[in-house]
Amino acid sequence: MSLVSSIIVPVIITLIALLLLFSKKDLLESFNEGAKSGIKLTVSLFPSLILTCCAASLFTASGAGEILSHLLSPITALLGIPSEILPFLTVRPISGSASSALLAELFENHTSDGYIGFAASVIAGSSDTLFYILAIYSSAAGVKNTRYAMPAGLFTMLFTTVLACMISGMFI
Amino acid sequence: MLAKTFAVMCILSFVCALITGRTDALTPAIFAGTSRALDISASLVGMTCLWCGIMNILKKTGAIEMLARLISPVLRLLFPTACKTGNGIYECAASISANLLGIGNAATPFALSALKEMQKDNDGAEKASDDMIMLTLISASPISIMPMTVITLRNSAGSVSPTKILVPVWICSVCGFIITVILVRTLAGICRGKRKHK
Repeated sequence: MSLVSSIIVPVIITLIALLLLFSKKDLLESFNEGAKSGIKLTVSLFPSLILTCCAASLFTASGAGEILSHLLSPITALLGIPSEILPFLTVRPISGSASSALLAELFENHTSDGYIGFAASVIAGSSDTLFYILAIYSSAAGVKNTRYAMPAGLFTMLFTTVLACMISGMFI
Repeated sequence: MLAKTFAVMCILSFVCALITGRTDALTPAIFAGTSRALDISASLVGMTCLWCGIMNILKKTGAIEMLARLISPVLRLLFPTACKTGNGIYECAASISANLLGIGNAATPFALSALKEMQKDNDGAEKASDDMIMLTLISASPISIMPMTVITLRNSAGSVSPTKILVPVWICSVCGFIITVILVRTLAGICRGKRKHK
């Protein structure tokens, strides 16, 4: 499987190169047009990116994640989520780098093969930084009101977390 | 929404820093945040340009049309409006395929272009359309076939079997994906019902 993942990009690039060689249309011009629109897109995202990264950085530096974990622990205990992974869990939707750092810390303190490390790994593999994605995507679309996106996304993450904690026990 | 979220997080962080006594970590955090934004932008520019360029080539040669036709039942389920009008549907197809193939850094530019196109259907409104929300949320909880980052972290931590998480990750990510689709379609239907009654 990892062979497919590592080979897929070279394969696509080769196919594109073949197309460029043998197609009669002016594909290089198409590429330039696309690339230029890509630059404009990324530049327009930069302000939102600044806000998002600063907010995420403040959140992790202030220890808000830990306080949130303390507040949530009675509820999560009912759901079968071990309290040790709560700090990692609260940061996960907010910052990818901080959550990776916390995951590494969990591995150090609880080994990567024990229940806690395993469950945290499964959660990390099946979730993503919701906050960052919502901010960037809504900025690209030019919308200010994301309606039910945030609650729905958080609910899904909660669901996968509970599921991960439940089935991790079976796989260790 | 971004403004409100940012404001809430800042105030929350300040209050928490007062509680935990880490107020002197706040200013360095802001600067760390801005430089992180620059790092992300730098990598984003490169791959966005590359993949947007490739996307244009795929559009011109009709390759992306073939792909979209291949997965059209899925696309019709997930993005009904975009399928009808055709705005952004090719980019959506590319984004979903890229996510499945494990090339996340291609999926993001494709999704961003898709959203820009979908805004045309939205009449430039400030509220996100249901298709936009669907694309955003399935990008946030994709079907993860090869979670390289986690496996690498496990390997560095000296795990006996880093890839043991593959099957549970598959189960969880597929379930998460299904739940997301069900949730978004249900909520979209409820919102549409409310709007009709108005």
